[in-house]
Amino acid sequence: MNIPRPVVWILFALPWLGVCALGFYLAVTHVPLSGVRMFDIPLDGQSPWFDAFLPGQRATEPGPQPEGFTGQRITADPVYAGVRLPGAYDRLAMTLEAQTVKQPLLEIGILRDAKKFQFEMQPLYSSVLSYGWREVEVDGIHGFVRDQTPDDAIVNADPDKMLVWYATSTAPQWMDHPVSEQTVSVSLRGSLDISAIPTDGALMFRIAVQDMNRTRGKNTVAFQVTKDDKMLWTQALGVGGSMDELPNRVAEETIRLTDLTPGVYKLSVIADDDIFIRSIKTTARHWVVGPRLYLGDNVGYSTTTPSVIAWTNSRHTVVETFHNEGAQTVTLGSANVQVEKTHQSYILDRNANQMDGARELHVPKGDLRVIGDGYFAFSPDALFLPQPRRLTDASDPVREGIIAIRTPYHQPETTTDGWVRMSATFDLPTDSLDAPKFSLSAPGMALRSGSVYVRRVGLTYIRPPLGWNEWWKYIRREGAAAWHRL
Amino acid sequence: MTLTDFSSAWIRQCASALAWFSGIACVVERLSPGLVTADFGRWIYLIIFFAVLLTFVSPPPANPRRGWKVFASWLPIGFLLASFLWLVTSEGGRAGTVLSFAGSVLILGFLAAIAWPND
Repeated sequence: MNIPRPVVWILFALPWLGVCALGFYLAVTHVPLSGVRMFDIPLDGQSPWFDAFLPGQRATEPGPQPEGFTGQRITADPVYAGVRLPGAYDRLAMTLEAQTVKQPLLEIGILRDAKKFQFEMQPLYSSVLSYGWREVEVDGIHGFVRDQTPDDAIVNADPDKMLVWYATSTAPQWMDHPVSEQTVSVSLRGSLDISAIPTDGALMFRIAVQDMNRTRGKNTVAFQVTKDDKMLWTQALGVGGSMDELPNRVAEETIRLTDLTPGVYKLSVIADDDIFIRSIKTTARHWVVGPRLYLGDNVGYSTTTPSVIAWTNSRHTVVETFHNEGAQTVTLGSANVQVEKTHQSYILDRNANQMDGARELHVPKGDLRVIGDGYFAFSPDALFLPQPRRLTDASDPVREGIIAIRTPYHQPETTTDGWVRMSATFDLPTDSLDAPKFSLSAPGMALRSGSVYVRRVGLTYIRPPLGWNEWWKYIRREGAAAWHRL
Repeated sequence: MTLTDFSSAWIRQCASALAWFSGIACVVERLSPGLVTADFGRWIYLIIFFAVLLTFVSPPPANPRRGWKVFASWLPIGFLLASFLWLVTSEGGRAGTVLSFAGSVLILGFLAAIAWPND
């Protein structure tokens, strides 16, 4: 039997039409003209687009959970997850459908510096803002004010009645009269931030640093002075070069800036934990350290580690020691906590009747890392509040008299069955990173025996819609990314 | 065209279409790891298997036609094998690319030997 030639050609064309249609469908799916590609992923561990939360000690296997949902249960923080980029996109809006148990605050961040393992964090969820607060935006400043409080409190509230959560506030335009140079002997470890008010248009600090050579490798200390996040001055100091494991000699760096306008200036000392600051000399009248204060030991420097007394406007602190010698009773005002174990965080909050003003922080044996929601000074006269305190997992804003909270956080929506859709948007790295990493932080969760249940993840990748010009840009970006992978 | 000739030729058309499709899929997967397997999972390997299987179930006639037409009829499966080789050597980075390039030259030489056996 002979088959007519037109029929032959039509039948021959069928397989080609089939694969072309499949290819076209895939191309349209992967390269949406709208520039938006969405994934709604049940957290069962099957999706190639989202890697479940790790490590296994802090998060359960994705899948059916004893609590009756399918997803993951997170019991300690931080946990890490990854996504697989479906192409060259500019931004990612991530949504977690989750429930919290005894956990008032969640934060999420994207890995920005893989070598230093630094994440850029942002708010994800706060239970204290769920009731009694109103979301407002005034003059481009976003946040929450208490019900019955005018919207402009987000701009005008006294710093002592305001909190910030991954937001900044404009620092007051302050200027002091100088005092004679004062020396504070300290033993501060690693990086720290000093906020100071200039005196007669000048800022002077002399900082003595020492490399203790407890880990191998050459160390560098960087100093930066910024105002309102604008860099004014920077300097690096090399402190390595020792061929043995003995501590280096103490080196002093002088930071002197003149012709400064009124305001609050931040001096950042950027170093790893091998670097100790032995003394700080300054003519500043008001200067504070924080929110991180890492009191080091004096092993290899002097025979004893001195007791430390600092003054703080923090209402909530978390303390932790990394050496057995750091076991001690730490006091904040009339409250205290017994630090018994190494590498374990202890919450030290002020007592309820001591929420106002400055309180003394007493660390009898030093060797302690303190992270507060406020700042620390080494004399009561030097203490001031350069920025509103931070909202932390321990904050109780209503009881603390807070009326406004500046934050980019938006109130999440709640599903009909009681799950909360928490969202965060990230600018994706411009380099050809195929699998960005994320960190979910639930501060203090292990101490409270809390947990977070996550059942779905929504990923929305965003770039400009594809016009004629965008096509060329898109092909170039995909080509560059492909070349980078080769 | 008789039904027997048509069925052989149609299988060859299917094999060519699948070979080009899965060959391109291998190239895309090599350039953007996970992009194709995210859509197809392991089914992509089944498509590759079928493309190879169909090619050898109904191979292009080598005789009496020789030269470019025979070379072109073997080219889809050659492209698929070369791109699959490039994909499976992706762990080797640029060394893997060099290795797969050398393999592709061998595949082309083999196809040329089929197309021009007496040259």
